[in-house]
Amino acid sequence: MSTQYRSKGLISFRIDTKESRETIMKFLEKDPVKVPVLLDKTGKVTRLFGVWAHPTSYLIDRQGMVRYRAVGLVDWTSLQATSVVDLLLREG
Amino acid sequence: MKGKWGALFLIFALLAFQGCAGTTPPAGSQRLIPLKEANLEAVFEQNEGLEVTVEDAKEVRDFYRCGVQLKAEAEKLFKQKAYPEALKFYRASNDSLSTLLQYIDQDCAAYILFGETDILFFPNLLVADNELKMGLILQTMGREGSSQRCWKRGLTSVQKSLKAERTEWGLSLQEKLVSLLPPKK
Repeated sequence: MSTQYRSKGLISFRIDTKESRETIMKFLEKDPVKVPVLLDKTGKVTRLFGVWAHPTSYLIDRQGMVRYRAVGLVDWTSLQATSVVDLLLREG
Repeated sequence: MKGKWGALFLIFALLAFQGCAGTTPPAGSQRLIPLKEANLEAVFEQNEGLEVTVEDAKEVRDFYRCGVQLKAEAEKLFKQKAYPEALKFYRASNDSLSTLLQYIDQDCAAYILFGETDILFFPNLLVADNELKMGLILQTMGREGSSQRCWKRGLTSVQKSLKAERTEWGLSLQEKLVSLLPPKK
């Protein structure tokens, strides 16, 4: 999805909580992704978002408002997921 | 997009990787938890950031975050002596926390969210503190009967909290509430 929607303005990234760069690099060697991984070393981002389960995904609109949250694994290629992203991208 | 494809308009943040869903709180220990560990400011700090409104709350934990955030607003107004406004926020906070308490009714000083991440989880104590403040506000409005009812409800909540976790915070709240209520005959 990230590649497909990048040209339309979608920016996607992953945030990893309280894990070392080495651990993440090892994980990425096994399961490479093109999405940048940001490090939340102290867990501050997790706390500020009120995350209580992993993975949790957020869709943030152009105004910086969190519009959707999904707790648990999400199939981002599903019609439901893509229609939400499409909807947000269409907004001015 | 008007041709500015490079502009960063939509952000899609994925908090991924391993972890597990939140677990139910363990039974409370009988250790007396000092005020420096469990207190209102610490609870506020853990729940600052992304605002959760009652309308947006979907999961039980959302109701906790929402209740805490509403209480934080109520406290600000209470300090400013904006009592009628504070009263609304205390009530809204208690509504949110009461919804949560239908599902998770035990306070816990180290409620595990995932991995080694835990939070102070004191819905009963927060409700009790809200009742204390609401009672004080109603007393200033001359509504003595209503304030007494608030403090009675507050005392019930604080006792529930102390049953699960013995905290200095809870004990001091209990002392205040007892002192405000007429002595039992």
